[in-house]
Amino acid sequence: MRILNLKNLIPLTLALIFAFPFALAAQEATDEPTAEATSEAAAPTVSELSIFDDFYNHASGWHVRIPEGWTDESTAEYARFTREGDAITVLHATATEANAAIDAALAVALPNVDLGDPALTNVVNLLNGEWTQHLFTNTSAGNVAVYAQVFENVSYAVVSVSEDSLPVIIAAENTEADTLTNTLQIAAALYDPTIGAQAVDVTTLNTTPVYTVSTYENEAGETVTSLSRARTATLYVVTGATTDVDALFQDSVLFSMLSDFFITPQTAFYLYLGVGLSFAILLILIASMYVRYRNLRQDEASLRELENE
Amino acid sequence: MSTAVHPASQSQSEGSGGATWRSRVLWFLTVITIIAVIYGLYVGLFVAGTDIEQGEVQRLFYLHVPSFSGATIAFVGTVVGGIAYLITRNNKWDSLAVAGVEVGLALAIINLVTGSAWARPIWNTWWNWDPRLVSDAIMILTYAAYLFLRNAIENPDQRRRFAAVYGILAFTTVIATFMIIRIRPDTIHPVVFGPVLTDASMMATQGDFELDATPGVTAAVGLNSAIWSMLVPLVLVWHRIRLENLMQRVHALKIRVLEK
Repeated sequence: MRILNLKNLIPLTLALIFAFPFALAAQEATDEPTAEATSEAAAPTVSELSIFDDFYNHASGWHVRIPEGWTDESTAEYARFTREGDAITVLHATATEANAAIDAALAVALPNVDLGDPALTNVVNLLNGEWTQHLFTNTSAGNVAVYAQVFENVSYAVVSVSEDSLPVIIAAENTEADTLTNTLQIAAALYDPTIGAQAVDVTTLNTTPVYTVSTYENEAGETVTSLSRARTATLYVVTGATTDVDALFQDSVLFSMLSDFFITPQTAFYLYLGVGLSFAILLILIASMYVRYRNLRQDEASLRELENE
Repeated sequence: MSTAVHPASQSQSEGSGGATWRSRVLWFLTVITIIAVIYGLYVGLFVAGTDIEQGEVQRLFYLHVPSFSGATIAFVGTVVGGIAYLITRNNKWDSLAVAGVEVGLALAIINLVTGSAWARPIWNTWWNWDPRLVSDAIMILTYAAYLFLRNAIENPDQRRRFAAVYGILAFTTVIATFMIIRIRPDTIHPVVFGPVLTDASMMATQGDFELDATPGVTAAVGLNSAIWSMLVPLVLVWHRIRLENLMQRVHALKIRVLEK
């Protein structure tokens, strides 16, 4: 059969080899990304950027972990997770200053709620940058912790609203045990100013990372418990009027959400640079080969003339 | 298979059907390769999703890894050419060897440059003395030296013998570059394919990503790897061999004219 002679076979083979990745690419390109919604009521909008199943991915390029055991009530505009009356809302705003970002975030998370002045305002340094922390305690909405970060003229805010606990990130002056203990007491006192100066009981849990459970007694004789973790001189503390350490662990997800928060970097310039240089190198090679070819052809023509003389 | 052909007599066979057929295949492959490279670039830049941790710069992966594969293929051609030349002393194998070096060197430089452009936003530096980067640089310098040293030897037979041996030995730098991220625990170069040290905690890599974390990545990698590992080195080496053949023809013609 004429079709199977060598002249046709090689192009056919190459076409088949070449077609396979095309088919693969076409199939991959049309596959829908899979995203598991933890709530049927308002499934998060998975951005075109990626599929991290346990992350909320905003189309503008920021990402926050979906806390386990919380109900996902996110929308396309913001992330929102709720659990037993508590809520964590994450959003971004065009404000270029942290305090303005906090106001914008509160307007979304707690509209028409007057929180008054914050009980604590400080700047905390996490691995993913500086966050401005505002804590509002014993308000009509409960205990409110707001964290805001500004990055490349866009602000990002995390608002935690809890009826029965208060998360605090606070830096101690040094890592000495006494200093950490005093700082922990200060953080716990933000929740309940009537607690004693010393903890009634301190237990170090056998967890990774290491957590400490400190129990205080307030003026009314009620137990106030703080779950804390130290990272060098920074304390991460969740305090509540409870003996249920598991509940405090659930409330402490805010800290891991803050730490895991990240923004897709704008790196397109380096992509263009790399692609441009790559094809420039290729073109230089091809141009070099062409110039040499042309020169050799000219030499060949001249030499043939000489040979024929 | 054709027997050894003196370069001077190749001009006499220029009009033969065999050379014409090969030219047609080469030009067909050239057109296909150009289309494939453009399509591969399109898939890599516009079809594959954006990595959420690295942003757009992750797409350089679709050039970075395939270009190393292409360079390796080209350098394998150099080894094959070197061994075959030493056995047969046929100049056509030397043409393959030098073509492999030139093309492989260009692809290796593309690999280095794309790696550097990727590293700037991810590692916050254009260059560091990571074992993989150093090994890659040594590989490039070794093959660049091949070209310089080759041109420094006047006697053509000596030149070809030296180049053959050098080209074979130089391939050890390619193997070292490939293996080093799998055996050195202190390299920060990501390992996306293949095995690593059994104790993963010893690996200090930065900039890793999961192939299946972003839609279209696997397809873009597969497509571009096929193009840059097969088509691009094949076509470029083939063109370079033809250039080398022309060089030898012109050289032989020059000798004939001078002897006249």
